[in-house]
Amino acid sequence: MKKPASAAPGKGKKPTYVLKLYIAEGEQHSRMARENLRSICDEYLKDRFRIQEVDVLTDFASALGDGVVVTPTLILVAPEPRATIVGNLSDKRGVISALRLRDAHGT
Amino acid sequence: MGKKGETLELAKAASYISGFDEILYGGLPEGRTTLLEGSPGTGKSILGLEFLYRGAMAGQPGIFVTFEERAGAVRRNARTLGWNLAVLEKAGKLAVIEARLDPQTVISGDFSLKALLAIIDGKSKAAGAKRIVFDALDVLLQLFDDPARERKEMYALHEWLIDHGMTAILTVKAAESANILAGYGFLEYMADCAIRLIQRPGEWISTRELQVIKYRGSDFGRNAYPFVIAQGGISVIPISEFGLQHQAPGPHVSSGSERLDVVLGGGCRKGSSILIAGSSGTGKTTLANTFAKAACDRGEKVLYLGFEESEESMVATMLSPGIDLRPAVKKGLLKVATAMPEAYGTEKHLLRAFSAIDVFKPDHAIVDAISSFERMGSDRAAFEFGMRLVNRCKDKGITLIMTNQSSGGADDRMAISGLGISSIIDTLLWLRFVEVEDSLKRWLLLIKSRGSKHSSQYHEFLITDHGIELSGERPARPRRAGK
Repeated sequence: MKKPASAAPGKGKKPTYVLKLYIAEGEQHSRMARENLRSICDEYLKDRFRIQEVDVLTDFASALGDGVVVTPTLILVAPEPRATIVGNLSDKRGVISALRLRDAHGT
Repeated sequence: MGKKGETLELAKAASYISGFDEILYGGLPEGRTTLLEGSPGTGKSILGLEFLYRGAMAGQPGIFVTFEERAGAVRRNARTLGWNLAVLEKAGKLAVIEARLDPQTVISGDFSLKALLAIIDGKSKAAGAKRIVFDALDVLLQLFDDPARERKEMYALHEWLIDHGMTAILTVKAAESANILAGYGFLEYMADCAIRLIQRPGEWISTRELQVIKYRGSDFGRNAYPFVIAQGGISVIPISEFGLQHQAPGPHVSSGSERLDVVLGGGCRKGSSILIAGSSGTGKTTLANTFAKAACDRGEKVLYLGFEESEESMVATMLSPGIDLRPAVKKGLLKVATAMPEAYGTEKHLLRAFSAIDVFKPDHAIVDAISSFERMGSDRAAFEFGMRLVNRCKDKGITLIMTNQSSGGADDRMAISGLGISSIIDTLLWLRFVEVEDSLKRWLLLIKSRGSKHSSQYHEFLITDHGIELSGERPARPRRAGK
């Protein structure tokens, strides 16, 4: 499955997505978010993504630093600008739009 | 301590806020949740923060979670009240947690408050905190656009707080008009204690009140209590029922001016409280002493508490408008007690005033001027002194006339509001200078008079060498000078 080179004219290499997923281990919403994010990334980004998972139950300081109040919370760290999505990511279309993945998919 | 088995006294967490614990019969329910509701600007955040600040100062660490304001703004607001949060934060006695959700946040599916709870858990364990305030919980609740989920999460939060033995305050904005929690009624049910803050705006007077709505397992003061937010924090006056209730108005007594009696709807009510506000030289003391002279002429006793000048000076000054108080002083009907406001603290001033009242047993008392109370230390001290004096006089059926000096212009409203005590004032008179053509005239306006029909128009007010005179009513309000 090769991507057509014409997908993003003028742009060079496509960026790697850096995502931070805040979860609470053992929580169902968190489990769902992990799975939903995986499948979206696999479909749209192939191997151009990195997911850093943070468990708030063991690392509350990071959550505090990132202003994370609810779980699950997904933060798009790169490419800029930063975006935040909360919830189990079940609304696929919403997630794709918030992460600006339409272009990434190629046409 | 229960004699028969399990009946335990409800444990309370002192707020250390002036007057508040008395109303709560000791403090907030310890290890339980208190709901604090009120319209924007009623002082919810300040009350919550003061609970933590005073607790921390007393060695009980606390956590302030803000859903709306930035942590920096919380610290700045605290500083204006004279509280240095940074010192407490550094000492590990206080944590301010900013839990604001980025407004750009996209919501996709279900979520829970686990992250917030994990943060609080971590912070409270680190500090050993048992006190927590969630400020502007309504902002958090807006995240859940489904009432059922909202409820579920709030009950989960509540459960968590109880499991962890946290004494919590949840502040929630009430609908602006009705002071009813729009859609958040379940919080009132959930919490063990519910307190409402009210601000009553008026053309002239804006007053703050605090009312406890419920307190599971405890009695509490049931009035709406006046309070102020002043330098140093909140001050609530746990005033007696009597002071706040409409009591049967006493008989009419003359003010010493027939015309003014007409304006007042038949004179002053015995046992009522009257505030005369106005800038310097408008004739406040003259008006008060007109009343004093008339009362003494009737054989009634008047106590004059002066904070501006000595007895000799005051009595001498009154001779020029033709008010000779010397015979009344000689007969022992008028007792003048003067003191410099700076001389003592509020408590000592109150004690002196109360003992003068107890010993002399006056029919009427004059305080000239409550504006000088501020020199007792702070506007807060002034409020407390004023409230308690009014309360004491009402309890004893003593007419209380107070003057309050404004510097004119912009702070007139403050002066008329009378240090926040106006909610328990029965009659409010305003004296002011108005420029008419080339001369400066004095005007008198009756702003409020509880329980009597009265004129609400301006009257020209003259100080002659044989007392005060009042002209007939002016149909129109005079134009404001310098506006």
